[in-house]
Amino acid sequence: MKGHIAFCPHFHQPHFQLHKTREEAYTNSYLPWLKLLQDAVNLDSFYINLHFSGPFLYWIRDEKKEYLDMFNRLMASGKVGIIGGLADEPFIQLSSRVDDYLYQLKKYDQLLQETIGIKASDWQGIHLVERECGESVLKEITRAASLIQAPAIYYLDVETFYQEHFCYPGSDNDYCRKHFGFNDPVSITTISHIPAEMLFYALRDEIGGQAFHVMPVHSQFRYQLLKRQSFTSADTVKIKPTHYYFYIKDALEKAYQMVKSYGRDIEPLLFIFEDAEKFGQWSKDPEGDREWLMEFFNLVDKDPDISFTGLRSYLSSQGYLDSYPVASSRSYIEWENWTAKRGIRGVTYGDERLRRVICRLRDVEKLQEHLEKSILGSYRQKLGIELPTPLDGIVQRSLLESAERYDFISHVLRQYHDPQLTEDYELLNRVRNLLYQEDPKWASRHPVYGSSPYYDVLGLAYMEMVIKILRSRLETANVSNSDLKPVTIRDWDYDGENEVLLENEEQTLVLDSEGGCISYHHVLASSIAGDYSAMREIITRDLGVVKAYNSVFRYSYPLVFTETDSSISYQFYEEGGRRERCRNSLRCEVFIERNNELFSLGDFDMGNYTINEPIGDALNQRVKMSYSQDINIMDNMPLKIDLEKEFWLTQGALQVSIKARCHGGEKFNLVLAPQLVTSATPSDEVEFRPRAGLGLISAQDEDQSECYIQRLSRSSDDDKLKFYNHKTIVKRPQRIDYIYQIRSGDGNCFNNCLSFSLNSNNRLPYLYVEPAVKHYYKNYVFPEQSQLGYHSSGLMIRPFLHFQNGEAACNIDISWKLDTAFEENNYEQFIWLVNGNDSGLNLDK
Amino acid sequence: MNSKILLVLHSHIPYVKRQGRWPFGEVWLFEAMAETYIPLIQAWIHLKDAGINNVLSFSFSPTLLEQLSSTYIHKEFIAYLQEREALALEDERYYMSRGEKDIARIAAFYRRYYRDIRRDFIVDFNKDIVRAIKRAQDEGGVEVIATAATHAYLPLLDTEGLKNQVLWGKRVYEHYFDREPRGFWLPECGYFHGIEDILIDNGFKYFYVDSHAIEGGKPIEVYSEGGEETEVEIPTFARTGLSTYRPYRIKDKEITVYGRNSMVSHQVWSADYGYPGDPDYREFHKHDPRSGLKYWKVTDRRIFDGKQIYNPDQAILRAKQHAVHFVKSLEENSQKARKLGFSTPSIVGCYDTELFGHWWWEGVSWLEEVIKEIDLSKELELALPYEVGPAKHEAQVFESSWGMGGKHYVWDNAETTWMWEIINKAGKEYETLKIFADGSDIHRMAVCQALKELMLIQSSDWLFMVSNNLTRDYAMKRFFEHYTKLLRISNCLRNNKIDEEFVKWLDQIQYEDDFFNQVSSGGLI
Repeated sequence: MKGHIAFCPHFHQPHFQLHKTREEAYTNSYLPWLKLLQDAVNLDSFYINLHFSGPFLYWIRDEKKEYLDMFNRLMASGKVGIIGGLADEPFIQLSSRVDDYLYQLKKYDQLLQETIGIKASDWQGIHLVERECGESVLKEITRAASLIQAPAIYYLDVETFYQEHFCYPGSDNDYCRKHFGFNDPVSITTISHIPAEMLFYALRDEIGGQAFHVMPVHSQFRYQLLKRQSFTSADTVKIKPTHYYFYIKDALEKAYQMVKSYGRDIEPLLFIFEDAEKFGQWSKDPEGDREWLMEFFNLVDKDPDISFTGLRSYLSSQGYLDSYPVASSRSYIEWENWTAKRGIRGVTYGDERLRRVICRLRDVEKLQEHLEKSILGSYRQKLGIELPTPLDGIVQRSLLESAERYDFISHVLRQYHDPQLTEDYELLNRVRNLLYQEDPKWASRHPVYGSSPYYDVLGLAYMEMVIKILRSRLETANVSNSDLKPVTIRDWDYDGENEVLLENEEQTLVLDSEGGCISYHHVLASSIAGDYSAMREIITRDLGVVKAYNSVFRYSYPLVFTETDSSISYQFYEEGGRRERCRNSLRCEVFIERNNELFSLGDFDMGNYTINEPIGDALNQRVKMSYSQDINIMDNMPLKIDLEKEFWLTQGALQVSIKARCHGGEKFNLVLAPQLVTSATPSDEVEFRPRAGLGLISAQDEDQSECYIQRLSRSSDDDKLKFYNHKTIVKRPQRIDYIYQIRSGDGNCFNNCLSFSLNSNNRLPYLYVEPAVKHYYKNYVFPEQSQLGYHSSGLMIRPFLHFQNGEAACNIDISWKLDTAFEENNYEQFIWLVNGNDSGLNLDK
Repeated sequence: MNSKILLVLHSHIPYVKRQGRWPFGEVWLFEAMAETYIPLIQAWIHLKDAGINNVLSFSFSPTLLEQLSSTYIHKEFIAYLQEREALALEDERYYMSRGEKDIARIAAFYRRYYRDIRRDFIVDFNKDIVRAIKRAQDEGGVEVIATAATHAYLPLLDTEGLKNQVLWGKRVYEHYFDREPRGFWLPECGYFHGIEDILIDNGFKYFYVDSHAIEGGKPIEVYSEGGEETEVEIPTFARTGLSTYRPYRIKDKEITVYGRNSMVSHQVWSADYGYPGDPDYREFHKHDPRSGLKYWKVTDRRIFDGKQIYNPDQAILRAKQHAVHFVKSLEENSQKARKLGFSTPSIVGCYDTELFGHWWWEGVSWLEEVIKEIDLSKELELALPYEVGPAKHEAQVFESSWGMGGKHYVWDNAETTWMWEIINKAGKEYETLKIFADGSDIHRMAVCQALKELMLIQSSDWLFMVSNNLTRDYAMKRFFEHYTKLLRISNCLRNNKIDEEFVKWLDQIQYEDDFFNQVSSGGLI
């Protein structure tokens, strides 16, 4: 038996990855990899397929040129093959546009040629992000690959193939059981699937006429690789290189024997796919891992029956076993909560926060299409082509549905339009594509380091600037469309209920009728609001060549883009199955106070608010929402409470007015508690020691409030956070400034400030300060991942206003200063929420 | 000082190489290798790697050592494991097709199990289990002791046979372990007055006997439980006032004897109270009719029908619980001993190695947990005999064994009387053949082979199988075959029929019974 091993480590760091994380991986893994390969390529039978993700390569190109030099010297050995892929490591199925496949492949091809000098036609295969695919992904990527002469060779987890050999009475496939409730006695069927032992060969498939080859990946060979340590105290399994080699040879032998019995004499292939960081970074022991891998390589080298191979080389020498269908992928069955269920399809039921990113992307896709239609219209005019009516529409639709849509528009722009429009269009497409990158969509959240929604927040910071530029372009082009109105009421997040979207030059605000609250609020710094040149300059500088690090938060920041909160989840079943809702801002609760205890009344934080007729023109964007509820506090004591909220955008601020009126309950001690929430978090991507605090400026009166601050956090020497609670008496605050520090990987360190001014004639006895979200996915993920703090979820301030004469009302002015000077001494009282100076604070754990 | 826990595992499989495969024969050896020896050594290595004190005494019978070292066995064992893996895979698919997912899951477990045993055998042990044991002894933590050449029941053997069994037991040991043995395992704990002299002559320092041999009283071991259906009278040995909590020097002799602790043995071995009979453990006797694999749990040891599907996770949990219970019992035992005035009591547990894993599927896990628990105990510590220190007290030991009745009944009863007659005759026959050893090479080879056949006849296994009516036919066949071979060699030598046919036949039986070859080249006679 002769067998082959395709070894394929995957090098990846997402766009906007934290500086410290990248540097650690560089030292522990990427450099040791090079040293390992320098030795390994001297072995006769050695060959390795490497996949560098686009974001990884952009970072290396920007920051580690010496790495590229060393790597390119290694390429001269001829024993390193390169796997192609998509430029931004995107979950491309989130995109509405088929031309993104070609765009991503071409960008990657361009990047690879520039950095390593390999053309698409020389790729060993194509990496599919997370090996996640449905039929459309395979079809479209194959179509796009053919346009750049890239080989349509993929590797997919073996679970992607049909492996169920039997259906049996009582199984899911038993239709009698399904429809009538009894077991079908003759449902025992052997289906003519390829036996599992034979899934060690290249297989061919075609979808919609697009033919491709797939090599199955067996996860056990991934997990056994470098399994030198125990995961838990009960785990005693340690795989030695000799064991690993044994398993591989055994699997190849069985595959060969099975295929022989099938009547073929073809040499099997075992595919080893694993994240490159497993070597060195996960174990923190690069030397031990190096020895392990080198021993394994040597074992293979000494075995005349087994050799390493490239994907395409294998296919050339052995061909494919047969045509066999690929199903929709299930690459991470065990992690499905993080993929399919969390909305890998985009705007689907699942992760509310992710949904907001995708909804904003859908907005951009629509605006981009308006622009493209406008360009196509003017193109025909310039060419002087008058197509008869049906043809006109057919041509336009054909172009917009083409895989080469972007290329076509881009060429037209270059040919016939001013360079600035071309640049704007290309920037728009570049930024939009960045937003699909996989990492923030599922696993790579870093709650500990103050970057929970970090990657998406950074992407949105650029995206909102692009939207402003695009809107201005469309207005200039006199494109008239409801999507361009400053205030719109529509089902923005496709949840079956309306939202209100308000936009001006500085702000984007989405109000959700559920809870009558802010589900998304993005702001620009006053210095660039309306200044499209400045915005272009920032985007071009940072993303024209995709810089590794940036300071975009000086200019652009989503203030409300909150995490889901386990405390306001909707539980479908007692044993599990729930929908977690985002905390959002300016939900309001009404309480009744009895014996110094507060009891929540009604459904004012979650109820469905009525959206009253909004006002929306270029100068004025305003909307009212109201909710009314009859409440029976005790038998025969009915009362009715009306709550009205008004939101309007002003220059440099979002103004909110809240009025609560109680009919019939004047004698009760009622309390109104609006929730002032922001998802803004401090971030320190260099040292992982974020800092944020609250500065209080008091009102003129002498009233005092009890201020309860929960979960203050401090970094300990071992870089773990410790949490404390704190209670203090403060003068009634008129303004609360939330200062959060951003220390970015490019060496910049600056402070952003978010101010909440609160005016009310009602008494304010208590003020609660707490993290915006304390737990998300509680009991669904590991406790340490579930627990959030100020550094990872942002802030919630809850003023408790006492009703007077049956009424409570307040005006809240929310303003911001990005990249602003900060002096702790400028405040009457300053409380560090995260990693500050603790003098004078009595912190209770 | 902590109490010293001395665990002694005695390993033996009859000589079955090339003596039939299944259902009787080599499969016994393969099962023991796959289910006991390899998992046990791996567990021992894991414990050592984890820094846990895991000292154990082992004995390996010379016939077992010879078979474990045979390249023929290595090859056949790998084939056996591959067969089992393939059978498990077939079962897995079969039971999936029937919708019996629970059994299919266990089949998948067996498939992985046999694959990993093959991995360990080939990769970790380089097919040489004996070398792995030698390495464990050389690195410290394991002491291997010698035993009789073919596991003969020594108390009833004639003197020459006895000497051969001890001498060749020692020589085989030295061949494989490259050192002189200190301890000797008396097969079946069979002791009689005088055997210590032969042991002393061969340089042995200590041996083990059952508890009643030292303490007196009624033997209580599982083999000793004669019920109404058995005719054996269980004698009560006179109380001596001695205790197994300490080793003794045999009166006026320079050799130490360790008595096994009755409680320690009882809790594991007892048919009524022993751990292996727990309802959650895997049932040994019920096999799948297709593959022979075992998918059921004990459920109720008194009945054979209605067994429930085995749950490996539950069984492992049970083994952990039993380990905790066992070590607690040891601690109580230790405290009891201290109250009796033993400042550093020794507690000796002797078991057949094959109990763990083969007979009691979860036994290896149990033993591993016991060792971990003892390591955590403030009262106990595992020790080897030399760590206990020299015996300060003398004792006279009863003639005894660990078999039913506490003496020789299991191997010497109405069913086996005729066998002893043959054994004695064969011994005498062999003695008369020694003179031919000075002849030609063929003569010498023939005498050597005669000794091998004699020693195989003396093996206690055939007596045991006949007595217990277990695989009696196979035992009698083997017994007669070896005797017939001895007789034919004798006839040919006496009648000088050393012709081509004899040489061919001799060559054939040398191939069939080809153990102790290294010994013959070093001068067997």
